[in-house]
Amino acid sequence: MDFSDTPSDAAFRSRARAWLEAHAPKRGAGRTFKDDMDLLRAARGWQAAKADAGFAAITLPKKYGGGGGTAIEQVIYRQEEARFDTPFGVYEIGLGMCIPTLIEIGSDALKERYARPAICGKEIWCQLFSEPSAGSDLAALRTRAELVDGSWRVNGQKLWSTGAQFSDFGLLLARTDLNAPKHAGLTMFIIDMKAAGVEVRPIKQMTGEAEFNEVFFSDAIIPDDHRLTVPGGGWKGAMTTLMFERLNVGADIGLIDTLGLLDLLGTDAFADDLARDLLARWYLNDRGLKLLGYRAVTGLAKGQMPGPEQSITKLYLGRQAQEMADFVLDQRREYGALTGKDLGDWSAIERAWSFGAAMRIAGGTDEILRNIIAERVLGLPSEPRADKGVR
Amino acid sequence: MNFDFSEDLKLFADGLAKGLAAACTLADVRQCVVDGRFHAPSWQFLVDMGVPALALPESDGGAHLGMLPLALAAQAIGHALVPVPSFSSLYAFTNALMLADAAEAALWRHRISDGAVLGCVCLSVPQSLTFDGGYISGTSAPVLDGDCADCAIVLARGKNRTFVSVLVPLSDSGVRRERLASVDPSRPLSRLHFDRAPAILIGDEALIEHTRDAASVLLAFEQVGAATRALDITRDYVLQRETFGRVVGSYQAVKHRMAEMWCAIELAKAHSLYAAWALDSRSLDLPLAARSANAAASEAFRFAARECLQLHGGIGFTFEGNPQLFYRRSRLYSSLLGSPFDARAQIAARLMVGERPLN
Repeated sequence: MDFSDTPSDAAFRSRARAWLEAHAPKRGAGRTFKDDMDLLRAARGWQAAKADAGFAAITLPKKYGGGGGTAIEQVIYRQEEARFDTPFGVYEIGLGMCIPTLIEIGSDALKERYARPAICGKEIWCQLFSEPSAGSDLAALRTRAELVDGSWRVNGQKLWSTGAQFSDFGLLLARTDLNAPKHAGLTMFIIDMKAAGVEVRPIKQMTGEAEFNEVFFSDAIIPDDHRLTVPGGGWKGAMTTLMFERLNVGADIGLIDTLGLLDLLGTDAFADDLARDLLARWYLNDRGLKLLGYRAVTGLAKGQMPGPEQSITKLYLGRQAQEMADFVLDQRREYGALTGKDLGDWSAIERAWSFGAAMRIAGGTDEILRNIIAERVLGLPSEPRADKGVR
Repeated sequence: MNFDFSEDLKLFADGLAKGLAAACTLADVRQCVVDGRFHAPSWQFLVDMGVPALALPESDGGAHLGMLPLALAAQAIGHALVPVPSFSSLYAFTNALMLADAAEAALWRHRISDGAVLGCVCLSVPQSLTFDGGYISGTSAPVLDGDCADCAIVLARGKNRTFVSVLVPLSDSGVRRERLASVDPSRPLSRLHFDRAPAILIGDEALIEHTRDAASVLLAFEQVGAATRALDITRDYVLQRETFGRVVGSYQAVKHRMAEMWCAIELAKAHSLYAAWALDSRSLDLPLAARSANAAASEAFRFAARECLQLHGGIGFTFEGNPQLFYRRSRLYSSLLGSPFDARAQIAARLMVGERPLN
C-alpha cells in the first residue's frame, strides 16, 4: 500500500499546484457573484486560462483541446484546485458529462465542431434529460422528436436543467418511436439552445436562487447530422453519460465537512459527551468516504471503471449536511430560526441546511440510489414494473 | 496511490476462507455455543496454515510477514464466524509479545508460533490488580479465552501509581480461573484471580496501548468479515423466502435496509484497510486510525447482525436459526476494547486538539 503519487503523477501535481498558485486566489470565505452575468464572465476567463494551460478537460484528447491526460491526473487536479477560490457552476455539466459523451459516441464532424469551443469555455452546455413526469423514471420521458423532411422536429418540456439559462447547446434525450418499448424508443441529440422554438424559463429554488430551469420545445428543429445515437439507441447514450458522471471521483460538492465544522465552531461547541459523539460519527463518515475515494482512485489506476458503488458518497453527505446544520442551529436556540444577515456569519451552515436537502434529490434521489445498490451490487430483484412492455 | 492488498495476499486469504468454510459450518458454530468452547478443528487448520506465525520474527520461528496477512486472515475468520482464540491469542497476545524484550517473552513467542500454546490479555486495570516484587495479585476484568489460555499479558498497577505490563504463566497455583456467563458461549469469558502469582515485567503502559491499537485493527477485520457474512446469509434468505406471492427481497423496505448494511460495511472496510496500513507501516496515524476502525467495524457488525435477525423474521429469533450467532458475536466483540462510544470519545478528543490523519 502506498499513498504517494507515482513520479509522473507527482510531477503533474507540482505543475498543477504551481500553475494554480500563479493564477488563482487561495480559498477564503468564498467569492460571491452579483448575478449570472458576473459569474459567467469570471468562469469564461478561468476556463480559457485552464484550457491554455492544458488543465481544462484533462482526460479528453489533445486534438480537441483537452489535456490528453489520465483519470488519476483529473483527480489530482481536482484535489489541487479545491484549495483555491475558482468560479464554479458553469462548465461542470458540459465538460463532465456532455462533451465526454459526444467524444465517446459522436460523429467526427460533431466532435470537430463542438469539443474544442466547449473545452476553451467559448460555448456552454447543459443536459436535457429529466421531465415533469420523468425524473427517477427517466425512460418515461415524453418529449417527442419526429423525423420531418430529413430533420427532427422537437416538441415537449424538460425540467431541472441546470445552467440551461446560459447554455449554448444541450444534450437532449427525446422519444422518437412511440411504438417501441419505453427504453427502446429514445434517441440522443445535440440541440442549439438559441434556436427558434426553444424557450428557457428559470425556476426559483427554495433558496431564492435560480440555477435550474424548465425548457420548452415548440417545433424546434434539429438537423439529422446532430443525432448522437441511432434512432432508438438513446438509452445506451444516457448510460454513457451516467458512466462519466461517476468518474467525478472526489469532486468538491461545496458543503461543509466535519473538520470544517470543527474549525468554524471551535471546540466549545463540543463540550458535552453527546456533541463529541456526533462529531466523531460525522468524522467517521467523512473520513470513510475519503478512504473509499482512495479505493476508487486505486481502481482507476488499474484501469477499472467506477461502478454503482460510487453512489455511497451522495447517500451520506446530503443527510449529514442537514444534521450538522440542525446541530449548529439548535445551539443558537431562539436565534436558530433566523436566516441571511440576521443569522450572522453562518452562510456555510445555511447552505448545508438548504443544499443538503437538494443533494439528496439531484442526480438520483436517496431512494433510487439505495435501489441501485440493492439491485446492482447485492443482486436483489428489481422493483416490480407496472410499465413493463408499456409503449 | 495504491490503497489495496496485493494480489498474492488476496489469493492467500481466498485459500484461508475456503479452508475455514469447509472446516466449520454455522451448524458447527451453534454446537460450540451449546458446548461453551471454541472450535478446535478450525484452530488446528489455522495452525496448519501457519497463521499464528505470520507476523512473528524469524528468530522466534515466525514468518516475518508483517500485519497485512494477519489482517486478511482475521477477515476470513470473521466471514466463517469460526469461534477461535483469534482476538486473545492471535491479535492481542502476539502483538504484546512482539514489543517485549524479556527473554521469557521470546520463549512464549516461540511457543505460540507453532500453535502449541494459547495466550490471552487483560487490557483494563481494575483497582485491585497490583504488581509488586515479581508477583501479581488481584482480580481481572472479564478476559476472553481466560479459561483455556496458557499465559496472560496483564496491565497492572505498579509502584508509585504507574502502570506496568506483565507476563503471567497461568499454570501457577496462584492463578484461579472463574468462568463467567458470556453472551456468546462459543467465545468464553473468565475472570482471573491472582494470589501472588509469579509475573514477569515486560513493559510499561505504552506496551498495552500499542497492543490495544493492534488488536483493534485486526478485530475490525474480523468484524468486517462477519458483518459481510451476515449480509450474505440475509441475502440468501430474502431471495428464497416468499410473502404475498413475491420474494421478500423484492420489497423496497428490505432492499433499502440491506443497501444501508452494505454501505456501513464498505465504510468500516475502508477504515480497517487504512488502519492496517498504519499498523503495518508503524505510522503515527495508528491511534486515530485504530479507534476509527474499531468504532466503524463494531457499529457495522452490530447493525448487520441486528438487521440480519430482523429480516429473517421469527426464525431469526430461534436457537436453530443462524442470525443469533451473529447477534451474540457482534455484542461480545464490541465490548472487547471498551465500547464504540469510548472509541468515538477518544476520536473526538484527538480531533479537538488538532490531530488530523496524515494521508
